[in-house]
Amino acid sequence: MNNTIRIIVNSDENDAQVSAQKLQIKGFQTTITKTENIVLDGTELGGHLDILSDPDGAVFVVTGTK
Amino acid sequence: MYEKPSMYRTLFLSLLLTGCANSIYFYETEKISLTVEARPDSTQPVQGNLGIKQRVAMIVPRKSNDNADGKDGEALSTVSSFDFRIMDDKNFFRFNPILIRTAFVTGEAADKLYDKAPGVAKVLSSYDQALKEIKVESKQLDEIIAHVAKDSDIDPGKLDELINKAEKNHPNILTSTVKIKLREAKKQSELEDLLFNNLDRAIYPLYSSISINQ
Repeated sequence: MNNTIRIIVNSDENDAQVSAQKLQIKGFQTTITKTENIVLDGTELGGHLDILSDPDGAVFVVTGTK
Repeated sequence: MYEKPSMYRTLFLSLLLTGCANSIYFYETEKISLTVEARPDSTQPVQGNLGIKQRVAMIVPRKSNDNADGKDGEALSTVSSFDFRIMDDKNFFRFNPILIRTAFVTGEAADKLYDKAPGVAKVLSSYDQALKEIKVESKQLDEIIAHVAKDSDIDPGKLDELINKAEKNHPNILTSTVKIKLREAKKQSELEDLLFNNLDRAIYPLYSSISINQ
């Protein structure tokens, strides 16, 4: 089981690459996924329900696991 | 006097290698030395030296192309890169790890590295950018710790005050769950670990709030 999963959403691919590199330097294994809409549902744990998208184009989801 | 045999040997080797069509002679050595000196006298500081020596030699024959103008092509293109950094990593047994990156690319790969493989250049530049950002965040984190910690313990009053100030300007970052996690940190190392590894987005809001009404 992973200890931590970090999810970072960027609107720019280059920013996503930098975010992924930062996580890798800190010991995370990363993936970058390109998509149009992101729905984050953390309500069961007392968090928020968020829907994220960029009207200018795609968004990039950086997932880091450690 | 004693250098002559060595010179002749090198010359002979060069002629031998360049005499063969399309052959390349490539030689690279890297030597790293680390010296640490400590004395029983506690007033004397521990001294250390780190040295790096790199030597690259290449003998490349002219490339014979069937150009339309009948002239020979140029010698093979080469790209060499050497980078030495001391990284700020507070979790690496309290030492800063040393990163050495070296690359040697030749021929068409070197010519087309940036033209035909922009992804490679992009990864290299994003890595440099990531290191820069981490370095800045590390310095800001040091300032935060110096502000809220006394010895190895966190002053909960000072931390709470800093969180509340940061929240006013950055309510979307200092959310309720983030504030709860930050307030749980009782030791300097706990706060450092939390901010550096997981809540690095909160470093700047906290750092920029230090000087407010100070």
